[in-house]
Amino acid sequence: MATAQAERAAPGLLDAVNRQVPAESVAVFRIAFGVLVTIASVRFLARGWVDTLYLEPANHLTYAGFSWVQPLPAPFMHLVLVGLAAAGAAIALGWHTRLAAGAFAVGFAYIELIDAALYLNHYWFITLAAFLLAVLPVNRFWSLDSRSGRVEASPTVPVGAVWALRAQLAIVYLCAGIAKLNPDWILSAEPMATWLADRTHTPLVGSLLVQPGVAHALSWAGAVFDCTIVLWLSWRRTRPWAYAAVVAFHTATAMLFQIGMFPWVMILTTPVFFEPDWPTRLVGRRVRPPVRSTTGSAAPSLHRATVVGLLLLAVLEVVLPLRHLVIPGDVRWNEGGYYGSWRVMLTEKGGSARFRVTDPASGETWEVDPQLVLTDWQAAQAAVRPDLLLATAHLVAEHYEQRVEVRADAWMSMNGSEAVRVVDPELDLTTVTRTSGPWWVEDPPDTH
Amino acid sequence: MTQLRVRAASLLAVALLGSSALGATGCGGDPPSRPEVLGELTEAGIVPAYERASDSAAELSGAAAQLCDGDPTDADLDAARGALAGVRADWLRTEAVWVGPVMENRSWALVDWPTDPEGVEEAIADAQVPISPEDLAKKVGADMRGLRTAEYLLWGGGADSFVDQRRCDYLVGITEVVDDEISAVAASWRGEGEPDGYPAAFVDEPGAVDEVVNDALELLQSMVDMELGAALGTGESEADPGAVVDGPAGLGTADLSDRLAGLSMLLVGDESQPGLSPLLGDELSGRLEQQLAEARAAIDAIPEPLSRAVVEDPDSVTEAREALAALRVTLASEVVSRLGVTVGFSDADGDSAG
Repeated sequence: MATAQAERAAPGLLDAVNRQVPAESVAVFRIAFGVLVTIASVRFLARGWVDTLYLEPANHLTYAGFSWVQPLPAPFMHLVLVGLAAAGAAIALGWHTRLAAGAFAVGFAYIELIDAALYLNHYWFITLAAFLLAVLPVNRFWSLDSRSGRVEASPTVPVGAVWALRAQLAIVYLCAGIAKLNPDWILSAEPMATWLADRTHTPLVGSLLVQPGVAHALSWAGAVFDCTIVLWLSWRRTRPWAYAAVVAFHTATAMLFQIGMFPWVMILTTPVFFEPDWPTRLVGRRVRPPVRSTTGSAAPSLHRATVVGLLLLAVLEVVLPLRHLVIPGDVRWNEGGYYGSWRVMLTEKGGSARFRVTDPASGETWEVDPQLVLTDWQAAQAAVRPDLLLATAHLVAEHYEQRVEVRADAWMSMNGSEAVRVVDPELDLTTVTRTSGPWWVEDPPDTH
Repeated sequence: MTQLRVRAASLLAVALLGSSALGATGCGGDPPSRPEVLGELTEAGIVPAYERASDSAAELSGAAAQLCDGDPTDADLDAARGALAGVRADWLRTEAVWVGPVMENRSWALVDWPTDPEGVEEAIADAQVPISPEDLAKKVGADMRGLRTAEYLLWGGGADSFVDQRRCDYLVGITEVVDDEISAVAASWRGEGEPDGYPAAFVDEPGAVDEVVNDALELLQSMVDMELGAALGTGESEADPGAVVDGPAGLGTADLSDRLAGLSMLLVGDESQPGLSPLLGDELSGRLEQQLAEARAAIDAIPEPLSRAVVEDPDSVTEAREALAALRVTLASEVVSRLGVTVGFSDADGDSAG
């Protein structure tokens, strides 16, 4: 019975997602995304990060199971970034759009998979958004593809494409908001208070940031904003105010924190929540460029497999941030279930890590710094992220030709808590596999 | 419709404003701001520390001139040696705050760099080499001037060794250069010469706390690993007693104490100012004071000279190293977390903090 109902419902769902709506908002999303990732790629090159972050480290802190992903030698690694910038430009121009988006998604995922110490939530968002642009029919309006006749122009897109992009943004906001509902954030206003104390030089508002109650106010406002903004953006009557709040919120975060392109990505992609024809409403219908249909009037549609794939992706994106619930310990401390969970700007950690290496054959023991195998910036991350500490211990073991045991003298503090050991100093970390979860990580001093 | 619109907009506003109002009631005390703390640290801690070093350097320069003024006596030599120990102590007490002018001018190296005895002897022996203070300041590398070279000369022989006029001139020259160098750093910290001098820039600089905490971490790293650890052989290499900086004056343990005193001035303050403690809170500051005291006691317990203790009494050195390592853990974890310090000054983006 249930199967029959599902079969009847499936065509209904397919019809619903393929209802045609104006293509403008999706086109603006695509153009904004393309421009921003082009700027981001050029910025990455200009700041010399290809060298400092990818080529200079002798080793990389790979993700578990992805140690085979390694940087290409110079100048090919630089060329990858040049290629990403070019792909971003192609996405913006709508030139071989879906191929460019697919290439960008693969290329971006490649550089992000090289070193887990570089993981950023907004890089994960960019990867997913590029993937969506590769599978959605975003190339048939305001694009060189449609103007050249490479694809059939269409002033409409399936509403499912709009939903998919909105859902992607909604998941980011909602998960980031839910993650903020923890005692440190709500009751202690940490780490907000710590960050604001170092922002008193901010023009105009600097002195206000450390006034009593401001950290709590901003922490709570941030949580309320993240948890509810999708609701306000979805409701037509509150949408303009909500978008103004989006602009204000992300502009403030851009001023206060070094979070790169993320605020601008969110500001320029969130208008997808407006009516699909908002760009022409904004400037007036008369300036809307004509759409040249070359081969017929077939509207773009989402195939059943695409819809199923998007639904599976949505399920995956909901499950990933929740997986920490079945992993023992506090995700903020042991970071089990951290990747892909949109846990943005939630902790301020400090750590100290050194290793004791023992040659079991001779019984000799000696101390080494993480810098034996890492650069300073990698070592700083390894000291505050247990999975990277374990990866470092394995790199230290690999450094020696003979089999050695590696134990850590590692301490960590979170949001100003008292420092405690991260791991039992008697545990040989070479016996811990990287895929076994954070069972080996000691509990924080106060598990809220 | 209009009512609905107004109500919805009001709801959003109330949600945000309400959270602000509630937040205002959840506050604690009213701690001083970072610029206020840095201002007091600078005015009552850092500037006086550099001024003391500058005064001591002037005393050394005077003592060297006295030693070389006619007939050098043992009393003159003792006075000069005492003056050198004094300036060395005061200079190392500033090491925890070697930021700004001392780094920009490379004063940290020019004042206190391992000496090259052979080069110094060759320069003294060669009458063609000009050794006026101006020449030494401009033409001689860090390894042939500074406090370590003065130490080498002052402990290289008795008072009669300074009958040699060129040896005397060389000593007087390098002590004057040291005096000028430290005086210039002190003047920069006093803000002399520019309306918006260094102290103001430091106090208002974003990341100034990051800078001093990273500097303090580097100092502890050097003491724990590169000096005591290397001397004891805790790393991969064999024990290398030469890794500790003892010098002919045998000031190794005094140096450790003085550098620790500088760290103490920065972290928990002294009788004149509270250091960074207003930002750290009473509990953490108290623990830091305890760890500093333990480290001080452990260093005091090392029999002098340090280079011999490393070989003959390694347990005492190990105890001091462990006390300093414990302090480093607290600094790298709790202080860094409490102050939101970016370790290592990565300029890459981040959205996870940590």
